[in-house]
Amino acid sequence: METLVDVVRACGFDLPLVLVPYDTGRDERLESNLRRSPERRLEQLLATLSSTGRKRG
Amino acid sequence: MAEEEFDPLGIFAELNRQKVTYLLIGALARVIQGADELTHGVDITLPLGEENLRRLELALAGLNARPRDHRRTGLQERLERGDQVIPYQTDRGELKVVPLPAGTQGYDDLRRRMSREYLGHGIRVAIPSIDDLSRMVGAMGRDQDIERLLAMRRLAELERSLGHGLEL
Repeated sequence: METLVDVVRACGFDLPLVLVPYDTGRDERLESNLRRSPERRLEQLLATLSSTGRKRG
Repeated sequence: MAEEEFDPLGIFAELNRQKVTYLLIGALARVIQGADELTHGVDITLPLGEENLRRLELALAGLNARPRDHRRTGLQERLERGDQVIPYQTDRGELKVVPLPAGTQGYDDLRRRMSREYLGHGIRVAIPSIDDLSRMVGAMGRDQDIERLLAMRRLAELERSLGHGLEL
């Protein structure tokens, strides 16, 4: 990893490493979305916005 | 319809009716590709040829689009001076025109891997690949996009692993 960061820095860039919590529910949600058609994904979004009162921009 | 209602199909219908060539990008494109996000706006990028811009202006008029930043400068002039995002409020919701999406070379760069997705009511919309949408998120370089980028990368992995098992 240090070698990688050294190489990136030699090229004039930096590679910030950030720890984020591992979301175990994410895969389930994404898989569920992938099993829907694009039409259903849009319908789901609009239903969520409507139910949370965020449909208005 | 109420002024601020979000009706993306209404926006696409008008763009398609005027035969605008465009790609849906941004959060709504990611959602349609399977991302788990909330958004209430439509972002598009498009070829900047004269005829396509004329069609876009007709569509904007049809949607009663007003610049959200209240600038009176016309679309063409804003493109010529290099505005990165041109935001409109329409009667169907927010519509942003992005001439050169972050991390890309523009419409021609993205169209190679695009797909045309059916969204209901007879409407099909062209959308960049998951990898290209990830590239755009990554290029934004904002802290709040890290989670979105991780989700998009995972989405790409899952799509590859699920393969033909999807009910599309």
